[in-house]
Amino acid sequence: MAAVIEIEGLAKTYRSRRKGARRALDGFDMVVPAGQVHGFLGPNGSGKTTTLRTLLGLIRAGGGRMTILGRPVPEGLPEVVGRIGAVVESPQFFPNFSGRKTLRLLARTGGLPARRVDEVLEIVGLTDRAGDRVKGYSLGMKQRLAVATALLKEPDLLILDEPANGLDPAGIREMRDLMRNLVATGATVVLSSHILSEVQQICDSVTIISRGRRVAAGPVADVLASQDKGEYRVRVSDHARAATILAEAGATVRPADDHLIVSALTDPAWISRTLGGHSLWVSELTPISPDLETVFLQLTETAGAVPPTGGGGPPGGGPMGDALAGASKGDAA
Amino acid sequence: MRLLGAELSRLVGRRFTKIMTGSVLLVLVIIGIGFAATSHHHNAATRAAALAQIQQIHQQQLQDQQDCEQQQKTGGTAPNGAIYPPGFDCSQLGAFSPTPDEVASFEPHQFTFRTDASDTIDLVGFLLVLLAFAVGASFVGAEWSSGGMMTLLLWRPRRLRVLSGKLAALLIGTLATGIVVSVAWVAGMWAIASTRGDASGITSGLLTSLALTDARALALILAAAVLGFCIASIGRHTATALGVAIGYVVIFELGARIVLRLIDVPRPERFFLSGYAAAWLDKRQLYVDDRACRHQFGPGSCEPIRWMIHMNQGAVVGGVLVAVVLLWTFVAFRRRDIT
Repeated sequence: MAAVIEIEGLAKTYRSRRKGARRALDGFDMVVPAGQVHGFLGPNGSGKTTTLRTLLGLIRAGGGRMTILGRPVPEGLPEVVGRIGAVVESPQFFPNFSGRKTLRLLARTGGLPARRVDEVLEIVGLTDRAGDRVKGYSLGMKQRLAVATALLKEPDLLILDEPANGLDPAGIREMRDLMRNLVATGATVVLSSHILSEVQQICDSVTIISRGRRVAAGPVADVLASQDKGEYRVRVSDHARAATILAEAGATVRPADDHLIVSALTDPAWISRTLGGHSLWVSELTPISPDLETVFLQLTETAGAVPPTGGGGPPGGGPMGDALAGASKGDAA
Repeated sequence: MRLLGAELSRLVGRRFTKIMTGSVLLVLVIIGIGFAATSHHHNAATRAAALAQIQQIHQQQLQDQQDCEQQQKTGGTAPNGAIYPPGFDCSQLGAFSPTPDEVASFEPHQFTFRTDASDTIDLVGFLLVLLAFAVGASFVGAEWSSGGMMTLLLWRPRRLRVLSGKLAALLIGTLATGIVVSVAWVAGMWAIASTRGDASGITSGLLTSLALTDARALALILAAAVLGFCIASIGRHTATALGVAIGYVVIFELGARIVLRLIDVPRPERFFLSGYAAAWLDKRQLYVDDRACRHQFGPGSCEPIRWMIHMNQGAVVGGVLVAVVLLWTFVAFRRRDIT
């Protein structure tokens, strides 16, 4: 599948006289396949916004290579910018302009027809309040207006930085539907978000960044599977005896409140067979699958524990993090 | 052109632009009303009243002359209570013979288009300079502080074109406003002079001179707009430009001027922009430096130094300043990270 964004070895160091040098991106790699919703995750200060801004020509990279829609950044950006819609962080608008006027001015700047303004107002659900001054908008309405600015160009690539900020549950669902509809028309959406359940629900693939480096990337299912430790929740009538039997049989067993957690297994039937052989009958045997939040925290906390060393690989990302990043690179190639 | 059109719409649609422009127009209207209210046609009646007043003064002066002559003969104090030094020429007390212009000065104030219009253009120019600086600073400063600049660059990732488009829109808007206000002002002054003052003596030469003064004022207004725009862009905030302007006036124009006078620096005015701006506007600015004569007494013992700043010098200083600030702004904008 063709990639709409390819980033390789991106580096950026901020320098200030007071605070000295701060490395925001340290050899970061990212590949976004076309026609997907791609989640871009990372803790605060991990380099997400710096990456997006560099990709959009707002920040000068210190090193590395980037292409967007097949054109090198920043030289080729003007050629494709008409196909890219972007909302980076929460944009502010002139408070005394109406939503419609704000969009009309942008449409005029981009040489777009005025009817497109009404279309995007309809898409983001702001038609009724389009004539009101922006200063009277709620946070969620401002966010919708921001998304409307990104949609004006009918983009092939939509980059949204925390688009759900300030949205109510209905708004979040609308945003989700909007992204799905866009992808259905062949567009690609890059979604940076902290709402991991949302990302897990909507994204086809993800890139996780920590301390300026990629710690995981690939299809969501693969990323989740990479952190799956083969753990099972086991309930029996006698936990202590069951734990002893399973441990003696070679399993790794961890007692919990009212059950056991058995890990490093590939065949859960082995548990039933082993305990059944000792007349202990399993009342619950459930695989424990990690969700994105768990994976995110595992990867970013692990990465955070080891300081960057200046090499090309992920810092302390663990074997799974390494494997995923490597697999993703292979996909990109 | 699309960018320019959008930027012009943005400039005109901004509340700050509307409020500031409206305020300056209101001030100009009030000043115009003041001119009209205090101007009175000179006629036979006002002239007769002026002559009567002059006659009364003249009579008083003749009386003073008599008192003086009496005091010179008898010594002591004159009947009017004055003490004149021995040998005093009492005839000069009664030698009052006013010229026609001096007679006119005893009449009520009359707005005379021929002599007063040029000064009022300076006044309008000064107010429009303040307006242009503030609007220019706010036009780009608000974009920086609101994140609008980032949005704009996401649409047009050609930085120099974006900044040039904004600046061009500002200059076009400023120039159009300046021309309209100047023409309306001159027409208003002519109307006041025609109805309540003196509109005589308007020649093509006078109108050409007024047009040139107005053109120089417009150039100064455009320079102020550029400086406000550039300083706010460098500092990424409207307040930066306003702070620099206030700081310059307080620290340099007021503070440094006092210091330079205290330490006896010759011709201190040459170090301040205000002198060059005034020279540009009025073609020349004449200064008299009499510090060398402070300890010289007696007529002809010391001649104060007279010097001037010519408008060409004003053009050079202003042009270099604007060029340097413009260059700095565009280089900084091209290189900086938009965060």
